[in-house]
Amino acid sequence: MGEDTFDAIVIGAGHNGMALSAYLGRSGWRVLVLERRLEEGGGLSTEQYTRPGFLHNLHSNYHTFVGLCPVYKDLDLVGGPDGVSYATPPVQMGSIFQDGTALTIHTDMKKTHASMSRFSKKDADTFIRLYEEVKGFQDLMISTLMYAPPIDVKDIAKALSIWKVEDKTEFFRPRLRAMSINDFLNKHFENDRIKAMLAFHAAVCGYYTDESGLAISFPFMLGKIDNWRIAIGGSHRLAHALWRQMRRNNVTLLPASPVSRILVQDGRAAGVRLEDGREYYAEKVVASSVDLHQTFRKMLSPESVPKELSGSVDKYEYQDGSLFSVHMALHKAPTYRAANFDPDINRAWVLNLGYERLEDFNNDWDDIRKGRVPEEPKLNVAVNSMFDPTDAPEGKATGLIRAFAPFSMDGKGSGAWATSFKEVYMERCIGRMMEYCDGFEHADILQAKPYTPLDIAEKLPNMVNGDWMVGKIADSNLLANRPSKPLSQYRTPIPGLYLCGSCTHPHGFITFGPGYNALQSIADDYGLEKWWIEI
Amino acid sequence: MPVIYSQEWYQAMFDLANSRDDISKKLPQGEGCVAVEVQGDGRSPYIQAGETKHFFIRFRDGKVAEYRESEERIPSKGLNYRVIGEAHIFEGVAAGVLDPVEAGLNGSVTIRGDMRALMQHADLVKVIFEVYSDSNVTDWPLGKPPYL
Repeated sequence: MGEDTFDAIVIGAGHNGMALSAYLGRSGWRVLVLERRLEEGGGLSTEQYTRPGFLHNLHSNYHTFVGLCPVYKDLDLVGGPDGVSYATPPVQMGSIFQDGTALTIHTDMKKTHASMSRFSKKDADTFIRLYEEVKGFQDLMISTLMYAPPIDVKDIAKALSIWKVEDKTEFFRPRLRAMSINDFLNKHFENDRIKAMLAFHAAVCGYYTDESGLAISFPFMLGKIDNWRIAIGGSHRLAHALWRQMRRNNVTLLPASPVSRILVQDGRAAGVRLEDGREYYAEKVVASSVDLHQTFRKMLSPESVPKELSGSVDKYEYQDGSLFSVHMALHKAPTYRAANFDPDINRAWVLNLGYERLEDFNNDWDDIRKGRVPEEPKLNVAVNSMFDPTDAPEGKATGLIRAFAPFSMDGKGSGAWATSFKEVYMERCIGRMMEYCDGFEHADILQAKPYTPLDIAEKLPNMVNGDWMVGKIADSNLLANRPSKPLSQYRTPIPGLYLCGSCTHPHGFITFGPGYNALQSIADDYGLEKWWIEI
Repeated sequence: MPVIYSQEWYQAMFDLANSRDDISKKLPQGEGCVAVEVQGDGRSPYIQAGETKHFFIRFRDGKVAEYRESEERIPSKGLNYRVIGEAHIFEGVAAGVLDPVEAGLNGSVTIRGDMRALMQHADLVKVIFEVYSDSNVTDWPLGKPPYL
């Protein structure tokens, strides 16, 4: 094998491409990973965005699959000299309401129950029953529904029906396929604030609460409501851990090496050409972790793409909205007036400020779909330095505000985010946060800097329209429908070309599912021993 | 009726399973291997607490082709599924007093392996459960589930 020839070439060094390459490298393959940007990691991006010494996660901030996703264990990504360390805030999430009350979600579910009980004892009991029910089958379902190439949702619903799961569980049933998360919450819960807290959890995970069919995923999501982790030293540390595993397994990573063309010879993916003209060849596999349009419309020549596939690529849909962020270097962490009601709110990591009832989400989704930036931003706020002292200089703090926002503004397009409006909206978000704070003033902010939906799309073109889930989260685009039926098993009609990015099942977020599942299909096709599967 | 965990009992179970041509014809043809770990839990009088019974079952063309008990844990290589649970759960299912699906859902029984295949053959899995749960094939000399 010549120096320019590998067993596998992976396009894109996001977490999925990196993980896939590390597995293949450990399986004895010669693997090359090509990355457009100067550094690896994709959405695992941590920068001193405001001031030196203040670390800000520009994209992925919340890691909720640690301990659930097999990749962490298989690739030794957590702990040890090469792994990343995680903190698990004891008060995971919270909601602060305008009347000065607050609700907190703890790793200790007894405390969660106590907090919810102050709003509704009945709902608190319901939540605990739901949580405990889901914990029973969480491992089974996550391994089946997330960490395996997907089967048709109809097969899943049929199995649940034949096994009469509906008679054996209170919450998990086939009919959830036809329900939205709002429907689920309205069916089982009575208190607006508790519903808002649980809906907020889904929304931050990228699930629109009014989208029909998403209730089927909601119980699993609630089963990991106590698994919000923070990567010590920033999310990019996880990319470092992946890179060390790649290096250990002789994977070659070339940054600043944008791919311009996937080479197809005799109908088979044979390699890639870079923008600077260099060519690399793959004897077995070319795996693309970039989005569908880049793979099929930019990197493949039109004659290489089967006509029947073109339609589904062009019709592929993205999320309705994106995120507007404010990164802050702070003199101190903010505290909240609602601590008079529940002192734990000052120790909560992921905070909901503004969503008081399900209608608030519906109104925001409605605005976003119409290209309107919500006039009154509703925020999710996180102060990472409370749990990771390395995030800020001693005695200081880092802060993150996020609000759901459209990528393209009605009548103005996405370019409106490049104007002074972003500063105006940043101030609106900060002002909104301060309404809830106790003795926190502008003078406590050393520097604040916006990061807009347009910034997301420009930094990571994979996140088309600033969509960090890299494709719509809807019944029509999940499991064996994602990104389309012919591509759902990570194979493409072009032999040797595979997909391994977040446009495939399950979706974006740091799940590692796309890379891990693509590995299963590649291993099946090439007879690789699956050393990573322990039965 | 044969005593639970006796050689005669296993034979009776397999004869029963293999007699169901309606199942075996529909099952995936070829070979599949399953390991079962039944853990003594202090409640079952048939397996002492701290002791684990290890079983290996090979299916061929929808019928039980091989069964053996092992002193040691069955290695993962070549296995399609591993089923793990406490003795009082397995015995409760065998006695027809516990529901196997419920045991899987509440985590009392852990199934490792490709659940997708089980879902795609859900109707056959149900029939297999029914065979295993047939309380008329088992004798319980030390007491029958549910245990107190």
